[in-house]
Amino acid sequence: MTTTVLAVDDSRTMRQMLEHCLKGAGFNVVLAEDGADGLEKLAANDPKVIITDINMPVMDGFEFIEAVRGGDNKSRLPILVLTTESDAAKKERARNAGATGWIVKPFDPEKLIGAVKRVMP
Amino acid sequence: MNMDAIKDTYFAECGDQLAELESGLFDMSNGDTDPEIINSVFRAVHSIKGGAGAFALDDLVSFAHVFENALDVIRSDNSQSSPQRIDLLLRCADVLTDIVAVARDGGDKIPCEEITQALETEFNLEAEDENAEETVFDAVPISLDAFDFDDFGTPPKAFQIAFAPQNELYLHGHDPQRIFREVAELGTCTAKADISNVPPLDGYDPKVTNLSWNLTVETDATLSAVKTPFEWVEDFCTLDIQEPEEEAFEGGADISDFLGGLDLDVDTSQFDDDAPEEAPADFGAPVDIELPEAPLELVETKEAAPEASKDRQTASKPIRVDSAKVDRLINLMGEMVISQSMLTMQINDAGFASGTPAGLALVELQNLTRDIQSSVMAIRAQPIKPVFMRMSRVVREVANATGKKANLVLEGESTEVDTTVIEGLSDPLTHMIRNSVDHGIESAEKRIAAGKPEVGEIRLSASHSSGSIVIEIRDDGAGINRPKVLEIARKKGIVSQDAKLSDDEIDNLIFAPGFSTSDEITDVSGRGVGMDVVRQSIQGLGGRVLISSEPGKGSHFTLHLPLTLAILDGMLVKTSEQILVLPVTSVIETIIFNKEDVFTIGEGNRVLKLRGQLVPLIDIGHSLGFSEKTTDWENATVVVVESRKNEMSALVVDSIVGQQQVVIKSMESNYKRIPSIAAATILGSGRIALILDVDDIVSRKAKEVPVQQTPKLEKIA
Repeated sequence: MTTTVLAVDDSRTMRQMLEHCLKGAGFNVVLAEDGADGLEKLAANDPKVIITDINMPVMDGFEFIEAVRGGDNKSRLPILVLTTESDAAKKERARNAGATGWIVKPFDPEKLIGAVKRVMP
Repeated sequence: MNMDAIKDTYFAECGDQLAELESGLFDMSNGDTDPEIINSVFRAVHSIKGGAGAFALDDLVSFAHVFENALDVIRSDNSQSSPQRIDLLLRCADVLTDIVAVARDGGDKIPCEEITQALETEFNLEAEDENAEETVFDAVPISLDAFDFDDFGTPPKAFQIAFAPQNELYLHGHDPQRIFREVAELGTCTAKADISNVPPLDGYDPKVTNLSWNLTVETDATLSAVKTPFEWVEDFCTLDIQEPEEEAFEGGADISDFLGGLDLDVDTSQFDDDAPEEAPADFGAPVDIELPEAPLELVETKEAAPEASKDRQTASKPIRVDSAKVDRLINLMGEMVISQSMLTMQINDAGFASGTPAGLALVELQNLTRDIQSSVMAIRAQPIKPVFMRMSRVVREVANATGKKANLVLEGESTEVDTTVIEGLSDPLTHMIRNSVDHGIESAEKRIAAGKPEVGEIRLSASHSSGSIVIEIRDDGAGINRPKVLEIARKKGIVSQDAKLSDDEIDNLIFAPGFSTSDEITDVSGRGVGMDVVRQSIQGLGGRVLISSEPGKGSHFTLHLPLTLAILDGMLVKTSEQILVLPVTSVIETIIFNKEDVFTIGEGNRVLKLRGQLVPLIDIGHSLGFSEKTTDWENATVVVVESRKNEMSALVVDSIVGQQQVVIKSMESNYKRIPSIAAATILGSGRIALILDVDDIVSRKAKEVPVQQTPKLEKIA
């Protein structure tokens, strides 16, 4: 069965790239444009892996991860943080919020797919 | 979808982000300290940088990076904001815009070393060396390419790995099985579960992790490659990786044994809030266990959406539509209006009265068409804000270049205007704003001497007014230097040496072709484009430019633009066997011609006495050249029209045909511009009719009858 990946990013460009890379690697892709949208898509779909940006309007990546991890049904889906943030404090915050791993933008498609495969069930 | 398509999306998005950036910084420069503004500004630069990296647009990445760092200083602490800093950030936004444009369209590299340094100094940023970014990327914990560095010459070594996960490991979505799988890819791997710490059932706490593993991996990979699979979990486990001195190692069970062992059945219902999975019983000794196939699916996430997402469901989301699709819709809309008028004609010709079912259905259709039309037009309507925001840059640049001080104040920037109008407005507006700063606003010294505030103000506003868009540009500068304008106009032969002109006429001379007020061509305004080109552009959009000026107080330009360039409410009139269309908005009234109200003034200039006022009378068929002599005045009709300058004229026509919506077909793009004609249209009969340019007709007539010759009514009466 095709694995569904939920990709959350406020940038249209990044969403298109993620979709392009992930679909090319045979994944089913669900896109969301911020954390709140991500939670909606998460509820409506059945992703096995989540990739999320950090810096987003409405609901940022930290809040999104916390919401996913802290929902009524404590989700332990792997969450990869995709962000240009390079400083350690942000990674640490993402990790504390419950991120599984992170990928620093700009990503190399192979690395992205590698990371997804690494955490997918 | 290919990368080019994604790149197109990227540049389209850059446009949005740059607009957001500029608008946010503009608000900040006006003292708005809402944290969401700096956040959105930061996000804009951040997104531009993110995408630029993906397309290897290095110049863009490096500048955006420094820009972002500077913004982060203010984002983290708003008290770090100062007018000087925001001014610098605004200039950075300009540079970023230019770099994006070069990245998109090609061109010379934008020099940005100076401003980058200014940013670093102003915001106390540490200059980063070229490799700093690289180091960051090396830290990306997905070093699958670690294999590339493998020394294939070295013989396989057996690494001993002691791995004891903590609760957090599971809570962060990690799964030992996946880590082992990755380790196993390095070579031959064996894993043994150590369940010696698992308590007996009576003391068993499902929330505590007691399982640990000992792995042996025989591989020719390096230590760092062996560590890689554990990179994300290092903080959530006790990990000890031993690189062997010798090749000898104690072989444990093969990974396949490991997977084929005990079926560890974990009941998901046992898990409450923070429960990690673990072995349920004490077996006293290490046993091989099978990891559940998908242990992370212990919890369903279907209902995880919190309140925030509920609100969003109800909010309407904008969709992006290719403008070509909308244009097609507009065109079809136009054709539909034509078909409808054909149908109207057919139904009328067939003798159906308006009260009959056919007549009523037709009225219904007309109403629907009108509704659809306004809905379709609304799709094309965009706030004028992006164009206005660009003007703030123009003011900044010109003020810097001329050493003047000027501030732009925007009003009504949310006014919605047809996209075609917006596109066509950018250039003329830029030129006018440039002129306002360059020629209008005085130097700070002169302003102070004149008792004005040191910083000049340019007020740019947009509003809707009776079916048109009104854009006003006011400056509080010196106003138009009329003696100088007149002198130049005379020198350039635009007006004759002895011509006597009113103030208004002198002001309007700046729109004359070949006129430039500047003695020398300046860097700023003198780019070979005069105000005549501005006027032409505005006329091309179906609009008008008006000017008024008060010496010492400033100038005031008013642009009147149509709401749409596609459809017009027209009054159809007939003269000399021609059907002509008058825009309904300029028609004041229609009256039956009465010979006794007509007076002749001077040579052949006729006026109509209308309720005590004299209005120039124009025989439209004759003045347009459709007939050699004037219309038979006996059975004529007079349509009184008013120009946007509030000048009236009385047009004599044979008869009024009716009133209907007409689809505007440009004459300029299909033929050429004709004086007094605004455009053409296709009627229901398939016949082409010309749409009259009322303003042009009125102003031409007005010139024929000089103001000072207009007689007083008493003399005639």
